[in-house]
Amino acid sequence: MEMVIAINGSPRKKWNTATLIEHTLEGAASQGAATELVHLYDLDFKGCTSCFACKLKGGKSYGKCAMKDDLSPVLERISGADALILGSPIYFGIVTGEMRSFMERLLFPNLTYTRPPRSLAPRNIPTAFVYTMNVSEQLMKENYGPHIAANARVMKMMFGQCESLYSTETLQFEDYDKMVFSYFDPEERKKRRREVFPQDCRRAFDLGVRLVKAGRAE
Amino acid sequence: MPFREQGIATETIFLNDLKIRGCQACYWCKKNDVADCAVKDDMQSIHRRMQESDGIIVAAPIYFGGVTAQIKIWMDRLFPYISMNLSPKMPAGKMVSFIFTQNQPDAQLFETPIRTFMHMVGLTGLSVKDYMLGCDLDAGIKLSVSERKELLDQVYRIGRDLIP
Repeated sequence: MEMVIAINGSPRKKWNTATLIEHTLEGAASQGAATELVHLYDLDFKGCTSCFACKLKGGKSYGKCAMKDDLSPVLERISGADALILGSPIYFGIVTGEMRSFMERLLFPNLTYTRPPRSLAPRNIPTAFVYTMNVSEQLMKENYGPHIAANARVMKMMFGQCESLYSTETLQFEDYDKMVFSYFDPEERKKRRREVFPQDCRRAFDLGVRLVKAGRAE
Repeated sequence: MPFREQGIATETIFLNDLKIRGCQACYWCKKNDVADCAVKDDMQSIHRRMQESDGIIVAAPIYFGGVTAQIKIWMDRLFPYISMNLSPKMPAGKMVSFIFTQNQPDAQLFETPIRTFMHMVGLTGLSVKDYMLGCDLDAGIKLSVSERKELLDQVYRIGRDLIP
């Protein structure tokens, strides 16, 4: 049975990002895969500290992250996974700080310091990045396009393939009356949550199905 | 050095030495409409020191085409300074300048993420003064910053010109 791991880079465990990646895992499970969801904000860990132990000739940590913290067992499980899903909201135009920390710890040890750089990942696996954000699809393409493309590029370089899925103009919270707020019409947003977000969830489910099938085709 | 010459006190904060959690998206700062954060950790003292300062220099290497995770977490925690209508909440008149370093020799390569980062920090109400990018740097392999006079001159000017 395949193992599919999803990483939740949102602090919230029950909102847009988590909901979407849960649907992705359900899609994977519908194809018979075992699944695991990791909430990064439950873990005590840091971004890469640039110690370069993963680049040391003959070093015992060559190609692996030498930092020991809550992320170490997660990275170990990912090295045996058959598909990997990263989920994050966009904060200040970039994935969250915790997702960024995770990515540095996942990617840098797997990257050879050679020209051209090579991947040390044990094998190619299907990967996907699921994004949620406040801005519209149009604004996303104008402003976050390079960031999203760069993430896909580096994941593809490491693992062979990466697909991006995004949900835009998400509902940030239930009760806009409680907030100091005048940015957009909350009613429009709630309507979108009822009508568009379920479609995003279906696309996330289909993504999970595709990832397992793609893994079998590898 | 440029600050000492102008009689300006300085302090350096190493983010990687501190315990700073990411923004929890609890929206406490928005419910209460304050430039204050509900998460009690080492960021609290950074908030206080930023608010008491006249200027800030943010320095970060570029990892994987963007700023490091440590500085991204710091930026996520600046959310209290940005109202939901995007008006800034940082007390006015504070300057910010940026120092970036990267291994890649091509200065244009990561221009978009660098500009996005500075723009977002500016949304807090900090006035973006200046920035510099040191390229072709890789500790122990390439010439170090201290051997690159043009970079030392640039950082000197960043410091000298921060506070008008």
